[in-house]
Amino acid sequence: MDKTPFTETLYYPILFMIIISVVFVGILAVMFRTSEAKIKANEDNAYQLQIVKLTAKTIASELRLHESDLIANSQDTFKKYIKEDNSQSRKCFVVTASGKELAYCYDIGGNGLWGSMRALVALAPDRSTIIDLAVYSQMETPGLGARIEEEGFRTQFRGKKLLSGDNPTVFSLVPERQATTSDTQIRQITGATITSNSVLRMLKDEIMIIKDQQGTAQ
Amino acid sequence: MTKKEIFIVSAFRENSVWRQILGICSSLAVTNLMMNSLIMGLGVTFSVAFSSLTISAIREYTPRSVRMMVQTLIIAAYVIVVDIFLKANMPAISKQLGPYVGLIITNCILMGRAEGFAAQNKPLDSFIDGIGSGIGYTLVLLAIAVVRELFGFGSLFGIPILGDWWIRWSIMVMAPSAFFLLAILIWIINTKYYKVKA
Repeated sequence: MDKTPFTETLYYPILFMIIISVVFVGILAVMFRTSEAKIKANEDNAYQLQIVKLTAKTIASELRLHESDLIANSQDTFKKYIKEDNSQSRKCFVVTASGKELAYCYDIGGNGLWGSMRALVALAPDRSTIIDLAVYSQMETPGLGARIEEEGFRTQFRGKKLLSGDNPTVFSLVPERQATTSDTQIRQITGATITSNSVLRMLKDEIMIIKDQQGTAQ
Repeated sequence: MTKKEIFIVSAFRENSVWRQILGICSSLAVTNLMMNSLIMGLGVTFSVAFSSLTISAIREYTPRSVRMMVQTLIIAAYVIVVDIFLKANMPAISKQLGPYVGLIITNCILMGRAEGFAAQNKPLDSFIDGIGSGIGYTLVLLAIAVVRELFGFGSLFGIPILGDWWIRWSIMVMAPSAFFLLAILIWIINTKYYKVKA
């Protein structure tokens, strides 16, 4: 009876596969653990920077500081003036300077053309007037719908009132290159009507949630 | 074959994209910006070079019956290394490339090189072959991205080249343009260098 070498048996491939898996999974686990904190910090920093960018102008004009300094030291600015308010159903950040509540920054979400989108909207103390808006996560078409992140589109919302009386303001879209004739018109993105409408719908839905929460809280 | 020949063959003469028509999906998906293409190309080069090196180094101990599983596992490990590295050090680019970094695992070039070259050749040769095919892939990506970014965004590497008068071609930003451009590129190279019969 001749003996088959171990490498020819059925056990060898199984053993080999287990060893290879353990080695590589081990390497990846170590690598992930060592950079986990850095990845988390990157994400937090990007998020905080976004909030600071949206509210820096308001803080700057209240304290007579320079907006660019506040943004450059975004982490300090965030620590000093911005606090998370956990009592809200939407993630909410309260901007306080010299004892006054200057702005509320809400994390809101809605659906776009291809998937969900998330945005940060900074509201004045009346919780209706938009200080600034930024979509920070979306899955829209690059170059078309994804342009909702661009200055040209998002800065149009500055100073707009989301509530008219007790109801949400109804905004309408006009073609991109046309001038707006009233406060409730927004220039849409050419080739991305559905995405442009999604932003308006998100604001309309979310402002009612924010408003209802205030109504019950008081 | 000398080391130089291995490189030239894998990067140009037997280029994975224009000669073997592999790795097409990612060539279409990430080529709307030069920077994305470059980082994607480097990610693929790193993954294919080191996975070829590792696969080649253990080729004599790998049982034939499980060799494909081993190759996939090794490729996946290196791709995850790239993904973690980008997330930790280049968060902006990592966000733009999105799922495509993870999808390097399914890029046919890596499996193709592993099976076609690394499984039969010495580790160093396999490493050079991997670098070569990665660079060949990067070149194709950049060639398509030059056209798409210039006409679609009026810029290169995010630096504005064409002024405000330029009307951006939306088609260049969307995936279909990459189909046309890749086809044109393959056509030009084939008729110019390979004397393809009609």
